[in-house]
Amino acid sequence: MQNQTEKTTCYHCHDTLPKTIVYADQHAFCCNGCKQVYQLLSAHSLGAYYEQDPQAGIRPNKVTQEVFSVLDDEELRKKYIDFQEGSIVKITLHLPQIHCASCIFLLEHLQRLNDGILRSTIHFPKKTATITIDLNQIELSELALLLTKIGYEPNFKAIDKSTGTFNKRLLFQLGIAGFAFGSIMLWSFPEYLGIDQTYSGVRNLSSYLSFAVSIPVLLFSAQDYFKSAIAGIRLRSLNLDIPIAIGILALYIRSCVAIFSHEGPGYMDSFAAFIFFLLIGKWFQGKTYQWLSFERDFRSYFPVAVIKKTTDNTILCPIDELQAGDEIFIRNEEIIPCDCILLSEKATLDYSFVSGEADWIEKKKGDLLYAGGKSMGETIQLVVSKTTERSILTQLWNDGHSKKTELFFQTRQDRISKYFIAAVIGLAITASIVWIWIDPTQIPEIVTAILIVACPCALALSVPFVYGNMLRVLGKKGFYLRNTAIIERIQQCNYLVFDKTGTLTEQDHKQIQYSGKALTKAQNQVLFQMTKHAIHPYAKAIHELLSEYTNDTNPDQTALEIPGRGISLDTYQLGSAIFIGLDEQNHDESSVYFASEGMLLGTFRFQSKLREQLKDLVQNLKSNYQLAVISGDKSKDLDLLRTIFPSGTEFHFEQQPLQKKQFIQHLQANGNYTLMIGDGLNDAGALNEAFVGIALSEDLVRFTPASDAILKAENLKYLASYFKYIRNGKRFLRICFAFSLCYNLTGIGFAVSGQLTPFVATILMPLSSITVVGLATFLTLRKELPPLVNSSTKVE
Amino acid sequence: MGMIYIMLIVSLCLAVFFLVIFLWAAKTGQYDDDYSPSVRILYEDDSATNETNQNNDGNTNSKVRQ
Repeated sequence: MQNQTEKTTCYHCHDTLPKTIVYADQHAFCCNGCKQVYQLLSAHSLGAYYEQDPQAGIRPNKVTQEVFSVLDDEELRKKYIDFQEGSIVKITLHLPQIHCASCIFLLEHLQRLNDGILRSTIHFPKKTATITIDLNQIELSELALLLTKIGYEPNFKAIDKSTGTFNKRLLFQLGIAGFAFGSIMLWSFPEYLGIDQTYSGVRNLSSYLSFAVSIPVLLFSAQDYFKSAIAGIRLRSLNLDIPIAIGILALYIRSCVAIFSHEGPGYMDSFAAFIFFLLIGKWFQGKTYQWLSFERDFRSYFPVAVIKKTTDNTILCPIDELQAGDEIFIRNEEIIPCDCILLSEKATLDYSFVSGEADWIEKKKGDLLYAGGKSMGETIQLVVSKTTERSILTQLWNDGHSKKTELFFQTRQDRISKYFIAAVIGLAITASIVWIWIDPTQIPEIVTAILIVACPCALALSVPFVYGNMLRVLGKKGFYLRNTAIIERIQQCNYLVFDKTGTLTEQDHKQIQYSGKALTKAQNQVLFQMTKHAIHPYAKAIHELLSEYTNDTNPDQTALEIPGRGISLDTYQLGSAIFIGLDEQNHDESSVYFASEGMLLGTFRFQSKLREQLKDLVQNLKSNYQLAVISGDKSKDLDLLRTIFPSGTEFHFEQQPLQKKQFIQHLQANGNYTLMIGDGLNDAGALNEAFVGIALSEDLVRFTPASDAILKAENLKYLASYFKYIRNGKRFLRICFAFSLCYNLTGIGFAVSGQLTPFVATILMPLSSITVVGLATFLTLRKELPPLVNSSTKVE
Repeated sequence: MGMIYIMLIVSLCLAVFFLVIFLWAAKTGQYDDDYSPSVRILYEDDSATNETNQNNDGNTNSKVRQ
């Protein structure tokens, strides 16, 4: 007991310790899995793992080597390995659990755990490990199993490689622009200090050098702005890149004229600086979460391959190659990859991820099983009726995947640029009319000067820095947005739709209520034994509940579990109403009955457990948003939800994935901007259809459907404050816009009066950009998110 | 004044040299992972850790047996 009070978290995974603690070396562990990892590591002198980072350690999943048997198949593994030379294989594995310095330490010392591992290197932002092994000493599946054992289960879904190349191109552009900016500025220094015609030789050389250096900037570094401006004009939608492109061209042409008429280097320094700053903004905005995938499709949820029966034996077959009529085997906890007909006598399936229904479903021989169900219990035999591509689930997915990308969304920046362009053109015309009377020869000079200073450099930097910073702040708090455009979308939303199972309620935890006769100590002991090795989640939950009162003293007795129905031991029975022998009328799917010799002793009723502080969250949200709950589950939790949600809330139960999607469509058709929050594959269609889709994830590693943002499930309670912060973003942006417009106006003052010189432009442009960047950073980082502060004070 | 001409050319050459180094570094992926190298450099020398950990090994094993 003493140890228990001293240490409340597991030495390995830092979870709160349960009632039953496992000890090794005076360290407390939450489970045997964690203890085994610890022992494995310390036996191979990798104990330093725990010293690298206080957050080290991940509770391992229980997986068998069979899961990875794909890797031992010569043909199938080709997709994953980088190269093979004799028995030496290099493979890059995606290990989504990588999260700290300790992970790097451990994974780069894998060779201590097995001699067959020659070398491993971690790519931290991508969360991949590139491992070289000797096949003579270790099989690839063994390697995968070893990684899983220490907590890093490889994920075999394709890693998105495109983002890397995009960033590289931007880096090149940035490098060249920076090089030109620095060089030209250096060469322009004599100009700033008032060099005159007496040194025309030096002046001309530096001008021509500037011109030479500026060519790659115009053609390579700035090309995206021209492309985007041309696209904008073609689509007849004005975007901010149009005034930028005009400004760039005005600067460049004006400077070329100056250089070739031997007037000095013109505005080449401002030109290069301008491109350089714009690219920095772009780079800042583009730094998003490489390791989170917002684009996952149903494939990442399915197994890579399944066991297929051929005439004489069984082989592994990738799911893409399955044909209708093939016979396949699905093991315990494996997912059915396509619509199939059941050949085994019976099967128990967990469809919670697909349909949102929390309870398990039983199927008999000859029944049609839809893709996406998880088989619970013994290995089942199936015959494929439709390929994965054509299965119902996949079709729903593909169907929902079309429209949103086409929905053209004008950002606030684009809307402003419309007025901006009009104002600049108006100003240029007025100024030239006025200058007709003063000095008509000056008109071209004045017009180019106006186009130059009106170039919305600071304006263009506001959005990347305000929203880029916000993205980072939110990310630190466990709310990961796909990109900065999502911030503006969230600002527009007025209708929130919640999924129930797994979103409002906790996925794995349920509240248990017991009613009936008080159980004797012996009966408790029996229940404890019965549920000890059970696989059904209800039985497991009962076991956990009992372990608080009962000590595990008796030797193991073998209880007989019939998957999906119940467990019996001696004369005792625990299970569904039908299993116990009660009539079907009393049958309640969310209850488990305990009986002895056919006599009912008591009932365990399972109620969904709502996430913590949900009530506060709803209170905070309801003033700003219309709310709705949509669930694939039965309406048993309606009363519970009514107590929390305000009276106007719409509740929809027993909704198929397609109906969820249609509900969102219906809301959007009525002019609402909907924000859907869901967690499962069954919400995928709705998440896609909604203006903003937020996927809730327990640990960021598990599958999340394609979405615009990923929210850590434990942080759902902070949603209101995230939204408030995001709405504040509008104000931040407005302040930055106002500042940058002030600079533009000052510049225009110089321009209209004919006093703009390269020197003024050189000072004005970087100054305005730096102010806006500073302002954006100050505004966005100034305030902590409110409730996060509250919760930390509560803990104290 | 002739010095200025040389200085201009030298500055260009220097800048090009640095640009080339930057582009090479970007191309070979040296900016891809900005975190793990900082951890990697702190690993203790393998031979040294092996010696010190020999004792540790004994300790842990005996404790596990208890």
